[in-house]
Amino acid sequence: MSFSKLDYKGKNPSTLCKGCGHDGITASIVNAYHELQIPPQDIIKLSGIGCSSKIPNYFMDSSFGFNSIHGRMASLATGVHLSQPKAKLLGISGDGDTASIGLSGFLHMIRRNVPIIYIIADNGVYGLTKGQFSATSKSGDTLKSKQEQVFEEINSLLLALNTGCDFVARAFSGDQVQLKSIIQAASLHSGSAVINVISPCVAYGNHEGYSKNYSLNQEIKYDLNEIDIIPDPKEALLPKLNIKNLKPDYNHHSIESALKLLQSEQTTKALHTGIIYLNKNPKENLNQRLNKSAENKFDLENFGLSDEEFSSFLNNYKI
Amino acid sequence: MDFRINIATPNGTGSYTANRLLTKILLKNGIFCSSKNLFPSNIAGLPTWFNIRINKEKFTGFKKETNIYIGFNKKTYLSDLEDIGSDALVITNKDFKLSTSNKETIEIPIRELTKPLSESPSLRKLLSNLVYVGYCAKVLGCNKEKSIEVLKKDFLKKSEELFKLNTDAFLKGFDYQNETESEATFFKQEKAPQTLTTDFDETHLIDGNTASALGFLDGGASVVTWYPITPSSSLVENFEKIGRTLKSSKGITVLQCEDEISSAVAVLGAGWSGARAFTATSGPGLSLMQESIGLGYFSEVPMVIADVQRAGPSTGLPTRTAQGDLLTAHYSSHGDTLHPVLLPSSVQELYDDSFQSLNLAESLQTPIILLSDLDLGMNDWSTKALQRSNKVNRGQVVTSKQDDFKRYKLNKNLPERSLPRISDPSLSYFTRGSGHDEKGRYSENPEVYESKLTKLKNKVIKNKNLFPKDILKEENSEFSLIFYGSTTQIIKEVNALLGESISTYQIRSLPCDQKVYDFAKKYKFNFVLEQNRDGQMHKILKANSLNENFVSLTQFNGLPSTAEHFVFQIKTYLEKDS
Ligand SMILES: Cc1ncc(C[n+]2csc(CCOP(=O)(O)OP(=O)(O)O)c2C)c(N)n1
Ligand code: SF4
Ligand SMILES: [Mg+2]
Repeated sequence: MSFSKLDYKGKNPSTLCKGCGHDGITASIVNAYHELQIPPQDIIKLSGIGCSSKIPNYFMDSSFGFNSIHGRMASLATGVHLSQPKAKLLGISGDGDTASIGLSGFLHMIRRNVPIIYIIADNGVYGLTKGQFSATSKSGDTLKSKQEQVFEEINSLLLALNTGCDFVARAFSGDQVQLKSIIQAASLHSGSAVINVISPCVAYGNHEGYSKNYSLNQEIKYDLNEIDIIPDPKEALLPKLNIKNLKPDYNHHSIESALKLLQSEQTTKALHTGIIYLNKNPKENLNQRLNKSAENKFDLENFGLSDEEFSSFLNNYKI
Repeated sequence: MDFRINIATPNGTGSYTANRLLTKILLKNGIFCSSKNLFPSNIAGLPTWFNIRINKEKFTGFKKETNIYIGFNKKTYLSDLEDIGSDALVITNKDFKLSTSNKETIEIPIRELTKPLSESPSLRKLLSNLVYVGYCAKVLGCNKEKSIEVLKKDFLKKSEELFKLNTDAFLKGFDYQNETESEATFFKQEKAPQTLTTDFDETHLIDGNTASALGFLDGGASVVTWYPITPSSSLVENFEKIGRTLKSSKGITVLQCEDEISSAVAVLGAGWSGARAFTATSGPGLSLMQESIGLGYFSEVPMVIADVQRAGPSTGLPTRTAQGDLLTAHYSSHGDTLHPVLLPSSVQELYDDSFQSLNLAESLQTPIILLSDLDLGMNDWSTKALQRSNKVNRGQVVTSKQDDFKRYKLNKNLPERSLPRISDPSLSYFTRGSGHDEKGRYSENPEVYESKLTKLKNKVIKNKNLFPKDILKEENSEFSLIFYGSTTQIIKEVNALLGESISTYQIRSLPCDQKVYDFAKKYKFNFVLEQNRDGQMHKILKANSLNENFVSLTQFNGLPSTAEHFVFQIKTYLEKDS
């Protein structure tokens, strides 16, 4: 193996609260990429603003990263993809970042199928601004202050499915092994891969009465499948993905199954984790759809119009 | 000789194409002219006025008084007559059955003339525009063959049939005028069209947005993200259209985003990872982009925003012109910012500045705002063939291994950056809009923050030599004129109307150069002419002035500024002073 674990672990210590679910996400990312030996410099890390958006600062120091502004990671990713269609983008956002301020960008990114692993670190609160409700909290949830959520929940995975997302998964930051294998599966996907990770906020959303708390989710977690990534002995080839179904009658290749499953959770109260939907025939990504040349190479000289092009253009405007 | 032709039609009747054709025909016939289209925010039905200014001195500004009025909109006919000159020629459609006024009025029997041309009423409607074009061309002494050459160039590439139909309609008007000439005493006045003919080397007619698109293409922009808004849409649409035919192999990507927040952030993403990227918008879009511009400024990411200004605030007058975004552009976003703003005043400058904005964004690694306006962007301008003199400058990009790379060095005149997947991994860094040190590491340290903000300011100010140069002309006058952007177009005329040679100073970019203060010191008054309510450039100049006397003069009615308006203001001011 040419890259050591240290190449994936960052030097910057996490500044998140001790026990924060988000640190579990970091650990899973490190293991996922280390096992697959994906060169860190091939990855571009992107995020918005929030405790969750700080995550990219805590791993893979030799990949470039851009911690942008609140809710805009999807648009940022779109721009990076247009410039570097072959780059592997790893985006980390929060539930506020994605389901409130950035909802439109999130959906438009999916509809254009920007190739990215899009992780939503979902704690149901605004951590960084000290514990206000986010739109992924459930009706009836109460804050520590006893304030009750009186509005409906936004389900980012349902929205992603309905917007044509080919890879939709859910994880729990308490199960780092499952999250790791989902990330690995996502890294084999060629379009937008959305992973919603229930990631409890120990400071503001881990008490009883809060639907995103650790123990409740640990209890209701139901693994849909077992995910195996089998490295190909001939290294040039991509690893193989093997998904073993654990839930009777569930078909993760069926969008109907996936939609039904997520809708049923309102009554079953289960938290289904694993790969919820994976399109067997993935759609073309943004760059492929615009049908442009594969790579806009960074180029210092070969720029602008040729003399003939310039004069033929001007000629159209000649009187 | 000075003429304004005002053509009034309902919007969406094909008159715009015909009116542009008339402009080209006049130019082809050696009659110098420029045009301004006053159109409504509407797809069809509301009134629109197309103005052609014919002027021997090549004045291109808007002129108040109409000399030839082509009244093809029944609804505005009477009110339009109110502001036409006393000896103006009025041309209208006989079928309107209007009671003619005491003005000399030519009534063209449109129905009768177009009937033989086509069975289809909707086609005949389009062709009726060509009839008045033909008539007007003849009135102004155009040569038949030369005029048909213009029709050929425009229509033949579409189809032989279209060319023939339009030419026939044109000739109906042209020949009708021939037959009825005796009716019009207009031609016997000293306004004889022959006297208008001048020699000039403006051989091209091009609108500002297209010139800008060409500049961006030539400057190597490869990623464009945008959200449609008048009057900037045609910039991107033309970029894409021309780009597709000319550079199909070189990989240009144009993406219509969901809003201007997204298009601005996507430009940052593309620029950050190595593309030359820009977005185009107008006021409402610029407002939405504020936060992203601040991010680009603080994290030092190249970004170009072409703002084709319209009259604000809010939706304002979406199809009218203004220079009201100057302060918003210069100080975009919260906190301390100071953005370079380029201020082109002609199609040549728009072409140059579009190209240079990409160079500046990458050299300074900061957002650059290219500020034009509806008048400049959407109107056709007579121009010499565009000159190409710009070279691509990609700024300082580090690619090979370095051990102690500092992305945000403080003591560098021009910043250095590394690029993901292009530079060696040892040059990787974490970009953020939050406080950071020279290596990009998170920092809330007071000194680190203060020195960063100071550096950002100096980076722009100390590299003013890279910006387009201000243009000044010093005369022995008591006062001077200071102006920028499209207002520049009327300065020659202002000078002529004042009847003496006045010192002038055209500001080409912000932040202001020390030169403007050195210049201003020499004059008792420095009139600052602009098209916004509060004298935004005047405010910027005043903010740094010691004892120079800047006087704000403004026009802000949404129409392109007129020389007459500013001359009146100057005279009033001077009278009061004496
Ligand atoms: C435009 C804007 N509005 C508000 C904020 C303040 N703000 C910072 S983080 C945040 C919410 C973060 O919540 P979430 O995305 O769920 O991330 P978490 O901290 O919970 O991980 C808000 C509202 C901001 N940074 N920018
Ligand atoms: S506030 Fe919540 S989300 Fe933020 S670091 Fe602390 S535990 Fe994590
Ligand atoms: Mg949150």
